[in-house]
Amino acid sequence: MNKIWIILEREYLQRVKKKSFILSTILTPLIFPLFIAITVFVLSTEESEERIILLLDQNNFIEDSLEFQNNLLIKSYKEISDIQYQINNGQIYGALEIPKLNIYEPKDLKFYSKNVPGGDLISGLESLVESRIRDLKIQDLNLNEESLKKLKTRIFMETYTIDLGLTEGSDEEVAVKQSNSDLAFGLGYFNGFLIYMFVFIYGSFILQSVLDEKTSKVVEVIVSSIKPIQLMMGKVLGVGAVAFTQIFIWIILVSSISTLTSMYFGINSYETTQIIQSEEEISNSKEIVKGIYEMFGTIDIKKTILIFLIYFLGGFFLYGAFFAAIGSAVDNLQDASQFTLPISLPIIASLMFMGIVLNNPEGNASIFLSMFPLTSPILMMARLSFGVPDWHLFISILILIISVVFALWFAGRIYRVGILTSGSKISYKLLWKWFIMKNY
Amino acid sequence: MLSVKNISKSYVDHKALDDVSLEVNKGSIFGLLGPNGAGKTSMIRIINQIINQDEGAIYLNNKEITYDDVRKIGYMPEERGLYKKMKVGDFLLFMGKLKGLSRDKCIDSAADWFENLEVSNWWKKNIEDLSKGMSQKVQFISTVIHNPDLIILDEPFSGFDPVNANLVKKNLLRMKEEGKTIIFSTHRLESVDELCDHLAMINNSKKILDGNTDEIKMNSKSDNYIIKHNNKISTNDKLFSIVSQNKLSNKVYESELSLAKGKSYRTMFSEISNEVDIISFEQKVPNMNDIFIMKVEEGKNE
Repeated sequence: MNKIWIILEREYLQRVKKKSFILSTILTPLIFPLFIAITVFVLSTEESEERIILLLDQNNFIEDSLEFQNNLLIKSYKEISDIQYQINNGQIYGALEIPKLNIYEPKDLKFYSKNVPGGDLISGLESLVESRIRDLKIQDLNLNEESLKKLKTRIFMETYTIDLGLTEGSDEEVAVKQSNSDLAFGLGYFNGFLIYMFVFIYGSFILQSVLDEKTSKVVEVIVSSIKPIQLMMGKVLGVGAVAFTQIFIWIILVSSISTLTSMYFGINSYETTQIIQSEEEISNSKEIVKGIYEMFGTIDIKKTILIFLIYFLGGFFLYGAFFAAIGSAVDNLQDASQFTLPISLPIIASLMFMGIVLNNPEGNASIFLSMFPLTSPILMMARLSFGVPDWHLFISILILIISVVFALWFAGRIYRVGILTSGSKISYKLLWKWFIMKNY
Repeated sequence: MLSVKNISKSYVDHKALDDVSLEVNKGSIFGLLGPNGAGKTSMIRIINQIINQDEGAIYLNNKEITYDDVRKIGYMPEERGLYKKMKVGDFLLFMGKLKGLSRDKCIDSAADWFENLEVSNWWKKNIEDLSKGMSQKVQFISTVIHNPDLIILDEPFSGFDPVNANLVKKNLLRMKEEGKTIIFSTHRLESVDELCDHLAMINNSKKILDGNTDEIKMNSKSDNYIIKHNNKISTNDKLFSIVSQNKLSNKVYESELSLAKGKSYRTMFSEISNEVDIISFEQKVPNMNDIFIMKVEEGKNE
C-alpha cells in the first residue's frame, strides 16, 4: 500500500505542477460562462443583408409586398422561367410560387432558390401562407373572429414532487416541492456530459502516462521494486486524484462565482433598482437569474454532488483500467487508436442514449442503461435529477463497483505482460493469451 | 549466496530457458554470458521476480527468495530509462523511496555516489537536459542508491562510452572489495575476463559452460604457442607442426606452433632456440569468444 502511495504521489505532483493543468483548472469555469455569453450575444444580434424574394402568387393571398424576417417579399407577375437567371446570379435570393389553389386543399407550393434555404425561412413562409389561408377560411365559413380567439387556450402546468421527508417540522399539509422538468433535463444533460468529458480526458491521460513509461523504458526499473499491479493502481489513482482535484477546484470556483452573482442579483437588487429606475432590462434579467436560483433550490445539491462523485470515480476507474491495459500493450500512440475505439464506443453511445433517458427517465431502456456498468456513470447521472428510487441507485452502484474490481483485475493481467513486451504485433488474440497466461 | 535451481521458462511461442542452474558466491562478480536472445534477460528477470519461472526455484542465502528480498537487489535492466520530465533529485528520491529508503538517507547516498562517479552535484538538474553519458550515471546511481548487497546488471556496458564503462568497472570492483555480490550479463564476450571471477554461458536457452573464469581458460587452452623470433624456423614434425609463420618486419617473425602429443614445451623451446633467437614465447590462451565458439561447436557435434 505504501508503495502504491509513492507512485500515486509522483504521478499526482508531476501532473498538478504542470502549467497546462493550472491554466485549464482556473480558466475552464470562466471560459464556459463566457462561451455561453458570446453565443447568446451572437444570436441576439444576428443580422444579415436584406434579401429579395419574389412572390409569384396567382391567388392574391398576399395583397402587397412586405418585410418578412430579414427578407423583402415583393409581389411579381412574372413566370419562374423568366427570373431563373436572376436567382442564379444572386440578384434575387429566391421565389415563392403559389399556383391557383383550393384553400381547403392547398398543394404544389414551391420555393426556388440557388442555395438550399434554411429551415427557419421555409417554416416562416409556410406559416405566413397558412395564416392567410386561415383568414380566407374564416371569411368563407362566416366565422366570428372574436369567438375563434376565445377558443384558444393555453395552460402552464406547475409540477410538484411529493417528498414525505419534508413534512417534519413543516406546517404545510401536503409534502411537496416544486419541480422543473426543463431544469432536470438541463442538469441531467450537464452532469452526464461532465462525466463523459472527464472519463475521456483523464482516461487518455492514463493511457499516455502508461505508454510514456513504456517507451522511456523506465518501467522495468520500477517493477523491480514494485509489483506491476501496484504500479498500475498507483498510476490510475494518481491520475484520478488529479481529476478529483480539478473537479474540487471547479466546484469551489463555480459556487463562489454563483454566490457572488446571487449576492449581486439577490440581496443588492433592491438598492440597485432604486438607483437606476428606468433600466427595465436590467431588472428583467435579474428576474430571470433569480428564477434560476429558485429553480436550483428545488434540487438536493449535496446529494447530487455526492452521487456525481461516486459515478465519476466508478466510471473513471472502469474505463481507466481499460485505458491502462491498452497503454501497456501497444508501443506507440498510433497503435493505441485501434484499441481505444471499441473502448470509447460505450462512452459515445451513452451520450447518444442520453436523449432517450432524458425524455423518458423511468422507461425500461433508461433503467437498464442506468444499471449497465459501461453506461451507468453517464446515464444514471442523466436520470438523477428526475428523481431515482434509492434501490435503483444502490443496485447500479453495486454493479459498477463489482465491474470496476473486475476491470482492474483484467487490466492488471494484461498490464503485467504488456509493459515488458515491445515490438510484437498486438492483436486481441494475443491480449487474450496474455490474460490467461498463468506464470508471467 | 544466490542459487538458481533448474529454471525453465517458456513464452507464448518459444522456450527461453531450459533447466538452467547457477551458483553465485558471496563477494564475487558473476558474469552471465551469451549471444543476444540466449535467455540471459529472462534469467535475470526471473531472479528479480519480474516474470515467473515455469519450473525451478531461486534461493537467496539458502532460503527461497521472497518479494522483500527482491526489493533489496540493486537491479539495472537492459531496457532502462528515466522520467524525462523530472529533476534528477526527484527521480533519485522516488527510486530510493521505492527501495524503502528515507529521504535523508537518499540525499546522503546520492551525494556519495555523485562523488564516486566524479560528477558535480546534479540534484537540481532536469533529466531531459542531461547528456547520454550523464543520464547513464544517474541510472547507475538509482540502481545502487540503497546500498544493496546483491547487484544485478543486465548488459551494463551497452550504451556506456569507454570512459564511463571504465568508471563503472572500477566501482564494481570496489563494491566487490566491500563484500557485495555482483551479477551481470553481457553479449560482448571478449572484454569480461578481467572483471568476473566466475561465469556461465547460455546459448539457445541452455547453459553450455559454467565455472571459475581462470579455470575455464586453463581448461580450454590448446597446445599452441605464439613465438616471435628473428629467423625462419624449419619444420620438425616429431616435435611440433607450424600452423602459421609470418614475417612482421626485417628480422621479426611470428609463428604459431602446435606441440606434438606427449612432448614438453621446454623441449620445443630449447630445440627452437638452437636455430633462432626467440624474442617472445607464450602459450596461446583462447579468449571467451573462442571458447564460446568452441563450446557451441561441441554442442553441435553431440
